[in-house]
Amino acid sequence: MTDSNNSATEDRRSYYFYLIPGAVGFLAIVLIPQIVNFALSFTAWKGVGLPRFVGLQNYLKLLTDVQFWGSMQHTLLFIISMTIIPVMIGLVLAALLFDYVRDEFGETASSIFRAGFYLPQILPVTAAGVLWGWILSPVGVANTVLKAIGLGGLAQNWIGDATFALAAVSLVIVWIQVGYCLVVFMAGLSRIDPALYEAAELDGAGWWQRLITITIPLLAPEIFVVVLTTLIAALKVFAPIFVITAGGPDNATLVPSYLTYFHFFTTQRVGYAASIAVVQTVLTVVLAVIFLRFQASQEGKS
Amino acid sequence: MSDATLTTAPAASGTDDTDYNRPRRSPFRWLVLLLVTFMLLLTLFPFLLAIVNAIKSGVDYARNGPLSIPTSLDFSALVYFWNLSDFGRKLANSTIISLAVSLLGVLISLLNAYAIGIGRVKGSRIFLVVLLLGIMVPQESIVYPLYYMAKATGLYDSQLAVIIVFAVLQSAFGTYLLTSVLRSFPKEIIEAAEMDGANRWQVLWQVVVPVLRPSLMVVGTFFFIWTWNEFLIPLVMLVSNNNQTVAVAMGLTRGQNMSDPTFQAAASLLGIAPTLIFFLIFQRTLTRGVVVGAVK
Amino acid sequence: MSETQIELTNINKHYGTFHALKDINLRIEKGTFVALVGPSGCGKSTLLRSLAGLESISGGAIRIAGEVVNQVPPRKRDVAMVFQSYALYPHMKVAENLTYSLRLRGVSKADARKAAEEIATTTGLTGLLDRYPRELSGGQRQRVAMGRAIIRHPKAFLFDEPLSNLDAALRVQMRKEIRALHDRLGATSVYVTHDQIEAMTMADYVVVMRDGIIEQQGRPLELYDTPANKFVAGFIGSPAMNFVTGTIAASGADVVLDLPDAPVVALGRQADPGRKVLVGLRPEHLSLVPLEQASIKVPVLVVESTGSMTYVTTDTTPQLTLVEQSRSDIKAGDNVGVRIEPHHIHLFDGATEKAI
Repeated sequence: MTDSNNSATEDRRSYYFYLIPGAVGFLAIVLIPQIVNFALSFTAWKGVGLPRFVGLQNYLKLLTDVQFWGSMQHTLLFIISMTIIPVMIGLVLAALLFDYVRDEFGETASSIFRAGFYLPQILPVTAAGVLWGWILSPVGVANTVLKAIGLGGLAQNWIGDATFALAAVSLVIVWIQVGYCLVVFMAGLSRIDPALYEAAELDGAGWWQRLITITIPLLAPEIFVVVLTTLIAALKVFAPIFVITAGGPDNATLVPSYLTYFHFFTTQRVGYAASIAVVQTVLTVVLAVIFLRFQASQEGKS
Repeated sequence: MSDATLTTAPAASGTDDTDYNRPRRSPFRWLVLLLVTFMLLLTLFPFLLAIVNAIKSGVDYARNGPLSIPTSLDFSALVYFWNLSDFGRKLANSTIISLAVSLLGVLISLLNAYAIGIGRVKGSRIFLVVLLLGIMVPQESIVYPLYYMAKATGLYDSQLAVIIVFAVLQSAFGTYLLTSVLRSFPKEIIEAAEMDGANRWQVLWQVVVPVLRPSLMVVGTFFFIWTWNEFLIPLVMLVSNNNQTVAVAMGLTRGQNMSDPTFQAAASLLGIAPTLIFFLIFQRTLTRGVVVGAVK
Repeated sequence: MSETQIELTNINKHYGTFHALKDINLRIEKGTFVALVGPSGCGKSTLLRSLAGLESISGGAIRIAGEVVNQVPPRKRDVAMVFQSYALYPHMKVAENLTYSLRLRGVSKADARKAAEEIATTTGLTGLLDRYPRELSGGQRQRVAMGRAIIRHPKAFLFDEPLSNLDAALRVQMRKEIRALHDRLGATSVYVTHDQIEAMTMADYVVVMRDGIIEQQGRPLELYDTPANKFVAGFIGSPAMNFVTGTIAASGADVVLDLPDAPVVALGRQADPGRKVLVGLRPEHLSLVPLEQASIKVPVLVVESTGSMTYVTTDTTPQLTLVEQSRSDIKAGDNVGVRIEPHHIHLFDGATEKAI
């Protein structure tokens, strides 16, 4: 039954005006460029003149592009450093800080620790890159320390050597990401009923057992959120690679984002770069949709 | 009648209550503290390194290595980097851009959230989903058209272009956050204002915003930091030295003076110092926001 | 004939498939205090908010002071609302809360302040004008909410269960203050409550609602003396009316109750012999009498004494409640005689539950 004759629904309509700035901005800055980029992926273009329609040619080229597949492979490897390791470290640290340190040493102590671990998250990634680039350089701190403690044999050209470059960048990424996981997990821990731990303790469960059987299962929502958001970030990672290794050496640390940038602005193969960006976008959207579905179901539960 | 005490060992120092019925404080807790402190030091070690070596003279470094305390304070590396990169200007650029984005972004987020959270307009859910999807996808997929648009409108290499782009991008997340806050805004206060004679615009600015101020500050602070740290779009849009931000300057430092370690340390220190200081000052605001779930 | 201040004609409201208000017709005279009362979900709040313009309606006309206001937004209807949660502006001082509506209209700061001080005197808020809502007690906040409504001199005051959040003692006091204010201002008030005692003690007219319709409207005592149906009879009055099924005797002048020993009670009027009826007996009208003089004899289950009053619950199906305004020495297990004056007996049709 439609609501007629009244003021309340008519009022509602005028709220739409407030969405105009946001909608216009979004259209101009996100939606239209997305569509244009998608269209560009079907063209060959050098950035000047007019794009030339080439159908699926770019995508077909992608299928045989060694650099592209290498970059996807590296993304998978970066998932380890961007998601798996930080989540694990984050869980253990969060449990340690929340359980032990907070109980035994007070809230302030645990807050200080948390802030300290979070510090790498607030830096410009490029600054962190410069910092670590300096530490990991062949004559840098890393090798100096190794020599000083007698492990000089392990000293490497961490960044300049294709075998180790990926690991080096991964280390930087872990350093940056642990803080995010930690903070989210600690926030999640605060909503777990302490009575559950007490019951488990009475039942005879030790610290590690409590972590595995209570903490982690109950933190499942937070873990899911963190895993998903770090996965998405792993797909998009750009700045650390740009700053530390510039995709090298010998494309050892190439990632799709860097490849896209390279083709957009260095080789000027705009259509081709657009197609890589489209692939990235599709993958990200799939993950993002999973994430948003999950968020919606969580809201439904609460 | 006196009960025998249950503790066998004297209480550890620093306890408030008596130790009846508590298990003996295990020495394990010191081990844990040690472990956590060690990890914290590992995490903060790079910062310390940067500080220590940025104020070291080149000679001192060459003789004593990176791990030594400087024998004398030498700011020449810092000064050199500052001048070389025109760091003062970079700082100014970053500050102006981040501040502008912070304000504009909060404004857009507020207007959106007002319509969705309080106005409950139809189609809000889709709007929010589209907004979030739009900013979760890689920036690479919009960077070239934006680059082209900027060139076409003559806004290329201008701070304005970057400000507009990020105000829109950040506001997507800001809308999401503020909407959930406004959804739980007491409806009756708004109705009371309506009955008192306020129109929607007046209700927003005279009733909602004053009450919402803490949330707006949290969102604004986050916007400032996130914008400060942005790299790809400023890299592409701000091509001339005069307009670049700190993050971009840092990104382009690689490859310069690679063999000058104190220079590198100085560059690192200057790159991280602003956000570090900002964080330490605004820590209260930020952790409040982070705990609420506002993590990017 | 005093003028009509508010007129609701054929008001209907649907929430999706739920029919919340069904053809409501109500006329409120200027200067009267009307209570809308009923159980939760009956639609009283919905009706009030529709009157204010905060809810939309699906059909019907709302007139305020003769003007149709269906299309008029709340802020232009010139009615004021006092909310259950007071809805004070937390960031404004009391004075600013009170004068917000004036400032919106462009009244000067000085005039606004003067008005605030007057209202503060009227509502007992002097000295609190520069405090913030969070610094006030529940009762004080309630007064600010009322002051905010009064300062506008609106055409009508709408109250949405304003006393629900207060403790019992404060509620009793505020009831008197609200009514006194209404009288002093000569206002027109519409007061929603679920508490029938509030409605009975405060209102000139009571409107009883259930499931979206008006069951009965009239003066409080009318509803008490001549309820239109079983629902109103059971809703008004505390303790609630007793209901016993029965059949009209062959004589037409008595009713046979479905109680042990099928007591026959005189009606004092004629009714259709053999008709199945529901007999309504108010606890305060049932009196304890010696067994020989009683037409109803019942065993006692529980006796509760408050010192001045005695509540007796009988061990019958259905249980009956009696209230005596005196002490009594009957005990549980006793058999007692009960008597009721014929004119206090309410009859309702066994099937339709309407008053006979």
